[in-house]
Amino acid sequence: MTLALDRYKTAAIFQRCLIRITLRQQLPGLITLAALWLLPFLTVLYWLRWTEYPLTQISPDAYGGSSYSSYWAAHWNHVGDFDSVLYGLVALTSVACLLLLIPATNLIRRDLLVRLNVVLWTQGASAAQWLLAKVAVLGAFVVVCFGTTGVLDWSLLHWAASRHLLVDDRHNALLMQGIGPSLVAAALMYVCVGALFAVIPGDRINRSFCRLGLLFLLLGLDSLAKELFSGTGGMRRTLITHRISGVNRSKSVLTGVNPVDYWLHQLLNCTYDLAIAAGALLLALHLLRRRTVPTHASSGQGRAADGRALASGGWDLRRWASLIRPGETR
Amino acid sequence: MSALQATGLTHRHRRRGPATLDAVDFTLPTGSICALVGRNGAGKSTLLELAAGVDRPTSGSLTVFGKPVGATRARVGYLPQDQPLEPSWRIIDVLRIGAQLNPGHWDAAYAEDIVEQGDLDPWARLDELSGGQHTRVALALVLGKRPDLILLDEPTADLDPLSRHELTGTLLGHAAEHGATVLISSHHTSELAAVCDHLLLLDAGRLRLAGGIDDLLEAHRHVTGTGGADELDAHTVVTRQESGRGTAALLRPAGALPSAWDSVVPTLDELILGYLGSPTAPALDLSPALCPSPREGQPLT
Repeated sequence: MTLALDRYKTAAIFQRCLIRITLRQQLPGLITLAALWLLPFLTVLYWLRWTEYPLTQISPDAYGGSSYSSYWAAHWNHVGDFDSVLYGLVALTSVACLLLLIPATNLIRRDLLVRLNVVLWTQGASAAQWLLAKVAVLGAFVVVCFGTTGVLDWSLLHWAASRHLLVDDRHNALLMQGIGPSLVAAALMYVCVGALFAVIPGDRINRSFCRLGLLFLLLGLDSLAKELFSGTGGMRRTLITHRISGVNRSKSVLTGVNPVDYWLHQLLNCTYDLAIAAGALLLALHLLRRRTVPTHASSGQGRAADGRALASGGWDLRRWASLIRPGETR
Repeated sequence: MSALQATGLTHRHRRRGPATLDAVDFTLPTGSICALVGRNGAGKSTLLELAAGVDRPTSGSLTVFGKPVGATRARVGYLPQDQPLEPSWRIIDVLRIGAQLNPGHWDAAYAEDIVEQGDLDPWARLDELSGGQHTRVALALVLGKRPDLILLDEPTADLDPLSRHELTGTLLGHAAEHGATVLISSHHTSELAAVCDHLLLLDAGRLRLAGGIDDLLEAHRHVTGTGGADELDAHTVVTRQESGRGTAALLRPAGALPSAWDSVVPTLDELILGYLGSPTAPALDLSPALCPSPREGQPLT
């Protein structure tokens, strides 16, 4: 019998094999998620294209910009409809972000329940590699789906703003959050928090309370942070509006987005969301490490000894990196 | 060098919960084939999981080939009791996964041989296989990485006698060819006797018997006689049954037995059943490295 040896590969943080395994396992679920995402996306596009009036007809440009009063009187309902659709789309996207917690938790929890992780962890993949592969697959999916949704929202906002189709009577922060990279960052944050939810130890009741507590803490922090980012200084002027005299009820009309404030707003939101995502992922890795034997030399001496070792070693990044690599090969 | 050495190994599922393993000490020599037996819930699966590195001890230490468990994961193959594999996978997927996750030490030909011996179609889905066929595929995944220490948790629980015989042959073939150490948990004690040379007996998280099977059997006698039970008081009696026709006992002799008693070396079944039926009987550790001479009558804690 010949011993077929594969080419030796150095231990990598992301194992392609684990990615493939996850993709194969979760293909039906990912297809369902993609369909759920595609449905509202296509519905909006359909509405925009095939609504009763083509949008170009209800924009003030069709009137030559001469008479806003007659424009509003004739098309107020349609402007309101469009307004609602865009804000509705943004609100729906934000809710979808939050709902990502469910597939992210289930994706990882399922393996732990059926103990497939046990097979993989004893086949050359570390627990951390397994977790990162799961998060990477869902993360890539989220980047594609929420990225395109963000681009759609952003395009609609700019197109509508240039035609005075949006009435600025909504909260700016929500709109700003839903039209750029911060949407993707927020979605990634919820994926990572979902991964953390999946590895929380304890019985079902304790786990549920822990998850609820973490969720409320997260939402509270999120609301506080977003208010801080958008509620002070000039950030509220990110959406540029002006009042049009003579228009029915003197509405403020959205006419553009301040590019400087926009990118600052996006930067602050992305930084906050990605920091929370990284924190959640590190905590999830730490919880996994507590339940499995790590690969570095201090392992095998019990939880108490490893706890002391971690406390003395501090938050050395090299130690964290050592958690990800699989065990020594022969 | 010992393949597996536990010192004060303790495990609790919850911090203040009962100990699933309670200060267990033993040494398993390299190259041995060891039976791990005990009642349901005795801690057998927990011990195997600790050795495989998928769970960690609450206290105490466990080393594999002299190193911490996590550092030798590549040399250990573990087959869990429930053999968790994704039902939608095909057999060929399982073999590919083994090859990809064990770069540098995956014996593809050997793994394929194990599958082919069962006349299995590589393209068959796992949910189309019988229990025995599923076990064969799971075993191919474990043995394909050519591990030096094989941990098997009741691998033959759902197999018919012929399949059990075939799989045992495969396993012994690997152990003999590769010099691997095998720790196998099973309730089929009569079959273990023909295969294993070492024994670990767990009961309620505590180690009751440890050592070479021949040594353990030689250290015990199954005696029958009509004399009074007090004649056996000088010996360590593991279990005793009295009937109208006389007394039968399993004991560890401490000196010569009374001539009126018939004495034979017990079978492995009798030894295991005797200890399991008598929770208060003193434990015996004949592990080579920890204790060169029998520590009679002393608990292992």
